[in-house]
Amino acid sequence: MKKTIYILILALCLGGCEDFLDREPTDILVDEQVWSDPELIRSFLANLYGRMQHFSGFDDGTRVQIIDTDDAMWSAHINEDGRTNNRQQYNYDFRGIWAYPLIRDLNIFIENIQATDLLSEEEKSSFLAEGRFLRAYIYFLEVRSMGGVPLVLESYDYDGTQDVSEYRVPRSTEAGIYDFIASEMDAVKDDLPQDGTSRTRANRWTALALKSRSMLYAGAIARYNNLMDAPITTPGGEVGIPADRAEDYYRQSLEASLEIIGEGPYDLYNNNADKQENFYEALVNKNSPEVIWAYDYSQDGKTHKFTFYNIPRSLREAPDNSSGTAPSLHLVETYDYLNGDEGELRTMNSAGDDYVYYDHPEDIFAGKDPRLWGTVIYPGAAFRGEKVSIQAGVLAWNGSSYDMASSNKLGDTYSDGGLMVGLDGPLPSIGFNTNTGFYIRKHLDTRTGSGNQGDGSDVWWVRFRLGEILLNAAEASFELGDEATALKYINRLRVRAGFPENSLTELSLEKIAEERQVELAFEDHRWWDLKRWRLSHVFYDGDPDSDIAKIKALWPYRVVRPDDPAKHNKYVFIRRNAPRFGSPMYFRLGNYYSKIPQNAINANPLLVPNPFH
Amino acid sequence: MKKIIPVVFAILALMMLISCEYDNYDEPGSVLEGRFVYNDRQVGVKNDLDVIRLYEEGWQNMTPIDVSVNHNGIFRAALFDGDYRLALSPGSGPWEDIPDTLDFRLEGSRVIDIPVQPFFWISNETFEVNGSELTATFDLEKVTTDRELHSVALFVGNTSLVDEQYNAKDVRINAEDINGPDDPVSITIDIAGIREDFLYARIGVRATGNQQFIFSPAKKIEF
Repeated sequence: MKKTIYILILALCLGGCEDFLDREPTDILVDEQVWSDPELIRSFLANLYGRMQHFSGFDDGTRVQIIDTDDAMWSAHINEDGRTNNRQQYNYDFRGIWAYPLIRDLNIFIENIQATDLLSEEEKSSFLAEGRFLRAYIYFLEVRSMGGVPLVLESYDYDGTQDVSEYRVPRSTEAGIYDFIASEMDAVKDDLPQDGTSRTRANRWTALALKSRSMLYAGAIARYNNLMDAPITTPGGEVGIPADRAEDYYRQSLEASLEIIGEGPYDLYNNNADKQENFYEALVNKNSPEVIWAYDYSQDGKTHKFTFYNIPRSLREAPDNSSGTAPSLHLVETYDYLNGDEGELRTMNSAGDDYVYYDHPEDIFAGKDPRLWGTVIYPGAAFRGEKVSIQAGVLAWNGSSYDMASSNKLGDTYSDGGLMVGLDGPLPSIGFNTNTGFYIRKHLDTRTGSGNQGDGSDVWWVRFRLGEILLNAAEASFELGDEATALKYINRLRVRAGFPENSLTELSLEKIAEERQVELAFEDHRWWDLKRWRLSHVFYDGDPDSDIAKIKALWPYRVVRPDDPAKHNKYVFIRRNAPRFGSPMYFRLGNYYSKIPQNAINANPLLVPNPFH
Repeated sequence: MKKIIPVVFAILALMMLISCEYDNYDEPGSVLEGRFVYNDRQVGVKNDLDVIRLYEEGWQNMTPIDVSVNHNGIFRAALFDGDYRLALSPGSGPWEDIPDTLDFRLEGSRVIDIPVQPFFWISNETFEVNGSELTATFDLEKVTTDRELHSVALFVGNTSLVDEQYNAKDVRINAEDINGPDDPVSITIDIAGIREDFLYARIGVRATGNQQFIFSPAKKIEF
């Protein structure tokens, strides 16, 4: 009897095991499954698109990166100041990217799409072209951070028998990666959809836009790196592009830009006669004819928290966040006046011995480039129909001078019953209110509820738009010596902004840089632009007296001076350091090319380190 | 059962003691100390200068050990005994590149002086307070031939950690506004409103094509 039971148990074990262990996994799909179903192939592609956003953008881990530059500082939780406002320097791995797992997945996609017979020939060639576009885009992100990187164009498999050293690929030259991007875009642009109806998937025009931007970067590096006292290069050309290539790169960029401007289905957004609102809408209106490629969000389950993190204090919809990005005074003053004057705000009278008194806080910004309103919420400006209340305190006249009075409570009133400190700050002793006197408007969602953590915003992140392409065309023309053409494109953009025709009559790189800063603020251009012009270490020089390296603020005060009706209850403005911004930005020469991760160098001794690391 | 519990606890207590010894090891006991020197004088640099690449030999991976240089040109690292290689990152210090690496064995503590050729050298510096003005006068020597002068600067601060990034006030003068390098250079700064009792002053000089200042020692000025 006992024997029989043992045998039975044994038999049961054997029988059950076979089926049990051969079950298909229920939580992942294996390669064979993916490549046997057209729907899953599309899902794979969608997954790749979802992994294209590096740096900035709206995803949570990167929400702070919008303030890496002189455009703004961080004004939310005070505990985050050390990480964001008091950087002693940028670490050498700052803004580095080493995305080889993603590149491997892109290569697997490209290899399998060529082998599959589940899709029509037309779909196959279009998908293949999309995969190659995405791969080139990632190589562009690599080269602008790291310089030349290993160009890996196939997926490797390792089963333990191979010699790993065969898999080691040395770095390409920096020019080599840019040339690869150009030739890939030339190769795929005719296979991609030609109509440009999709603003989120690759098509002919996204390919040209990538070429426009990347060739402009290559041209600028070829030109401006070699104008440095000591150009940053490596002997193998992994870093640094020969000066004689500049012209060719600028020409390639210009050709791509001109094709988009001339033949592309895009136009500058001009639907709103109010130029201020028009510029704001150009990015957030999803029917904007200006957007070429965006990373989209939807209220059906894919939203982001940008509005939650950045909405002005008094308008917040959740108690635990707001006020993240506080634009700098330097950015605000870079916006010109519509009459052509430079953008410096008039805080003091011409003799310099008294303030300028304004009836309303917003009056000091009258006559400015309407793009300022579309980018920044300044004192007295409205968002969602509500005026923000930004006021640092009162200046009370004591008979011979002003006494400054403030409070440590938002919305507090002065002894005359009037407002002392605005509901939106600035109040540096507590977090979650502006420290510079400004809030960000660009990308901020006007839909009620979007500032709620759970609800979220569906404003999209625009990667390429016609406005940038016009600036690219202007810069490339200027660098090729054709100032007239450059002026044509830059003035077209300024007309859309609200300037009269031909508002600029001469150009310089400095002016082009300003125009890019104001038009493209908070769209993740500034950091990369300064780098390619080799101006980062000049602007971010660590000098505490610098208006650029050290974020400055503009604080409004209400004047209490009942004996002088021309000044009583008027507003004056005081320039000052933003108190929560401690360390002036300090960009070292070793930041021009980010540090290659140590584990990559350990695994592949062929990788030449970047200079200064 | 009751008899077993104390035994189990005794065994557990014993195990904890034993594992402690096994898991912990002594902290690095040897100290590597060094200075960057020119003519036996320490070279003043920006505090926390990142220029040293120190590797411990014999491991599979070559990950450099962080060693930063303080404002007096002194560096210090607590290390385990072993074989080390010290290299300098080219272009990161305000001196001629030194392509050679230094291999050494550390057994106990050790002091290393690294002689460098700074691009420029500040000497005979004097500071004079006149009312609310501080004037620094110094000789500027061009040490290497292949670099031109970029700028000189006078920095003042509330602590001895004074450099181009952390200071209360500074005056910077570009090369074209300076007398020939043979004459003594003087820089004046208005120090009104910084501190009543004392402050620290430091002279810096920069060469073209390099980001780093070479500093004189921070000098405490009392008044």
